[in-house]
Amino acid sequence: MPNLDQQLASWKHVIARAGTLTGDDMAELEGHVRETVRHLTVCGLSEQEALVIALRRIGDPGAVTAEYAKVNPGLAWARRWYWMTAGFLIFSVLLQGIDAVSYAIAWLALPTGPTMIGVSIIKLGCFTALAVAMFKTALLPSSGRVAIMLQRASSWCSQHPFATATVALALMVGFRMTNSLALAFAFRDQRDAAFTLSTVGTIGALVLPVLLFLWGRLVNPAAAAMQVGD
Amino acid sequence: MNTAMIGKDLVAASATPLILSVLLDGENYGYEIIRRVKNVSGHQLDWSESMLYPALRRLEDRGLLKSRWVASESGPNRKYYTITRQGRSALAAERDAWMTIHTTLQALWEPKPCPT
Repeated sequence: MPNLDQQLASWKHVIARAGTLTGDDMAELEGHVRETVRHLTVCGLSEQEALVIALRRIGDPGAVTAEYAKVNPGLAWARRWYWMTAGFLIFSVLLQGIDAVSYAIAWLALPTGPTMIGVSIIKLGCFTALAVAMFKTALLPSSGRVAIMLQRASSWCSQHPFATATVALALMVGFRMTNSLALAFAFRDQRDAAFTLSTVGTIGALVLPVLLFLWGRLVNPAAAAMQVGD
Repeated sequence: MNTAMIGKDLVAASATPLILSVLLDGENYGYEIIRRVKNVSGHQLDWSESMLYPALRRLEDRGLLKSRWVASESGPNRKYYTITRQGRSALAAERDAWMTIHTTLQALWEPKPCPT
């Protein structure tokens, strides 16, 4: 028989799926259920019985989520914007990463050293490989190991936005610096080094604050177990 | 008489003054607020939780309440609500409104002396 936390988690999952409660709301509602259970078990009921009554008192999940939808009108779009922004950030990092990998491959693999066309072809290959990998990941069964890993990673990122932002920024700067050095050294192209700061700076200055602000709206440390946009 | 017999609109309309009045005694959290209302009403007002928390949020959005999270030693964290000054004046206005309705109804329901 699943324990209290597991049963509560599956109920929370049903409520959260409607997408009309913020992390704060979920935490408040869960706290209420736990307090009811505690009160009822003190009165003599078993934990199972107490949970059934507590959830029954909260009422039909549809009614609950409908009531919260009235007080959280913009939440659905805030959630979507969060994921779009996160996707943009991830893609920016991947873009820089592919550049770096392509230069490295061109350097090591091409007999005549890196050339513009050689690097471009390798980049195309990397992008294709990435696109295929992303499609395959999207089609994976939800119980698959990779899917679970992705879920854990996204959960961790939602709970540690500052760490995630720092890592993303560090990766972008790191890759970009490498690429600029590679370009400057291999192609005697100094201009690209000047673009480094502007690209990274723009992305960092615009995207990261938006991401962090939306995180503040959607997720709360008290609701650490819940996933955003589940 | 239980809440089921009190109309939905009346329950909803009375939520604001009831919540504000409970919080006049000091800051409190959702579970206790429901319990307090239930006790004081002699178990005739049995609110549903799905009604209370959005109502608390609406009052907070209107500036009549403010809230803070408090870590609890022996259980889940609790969100405590406090009435603001704006809340107190809103409650005074609600009180006037309800008293007006109450006295009018009372006057209408007074048993009239038999005409002789």
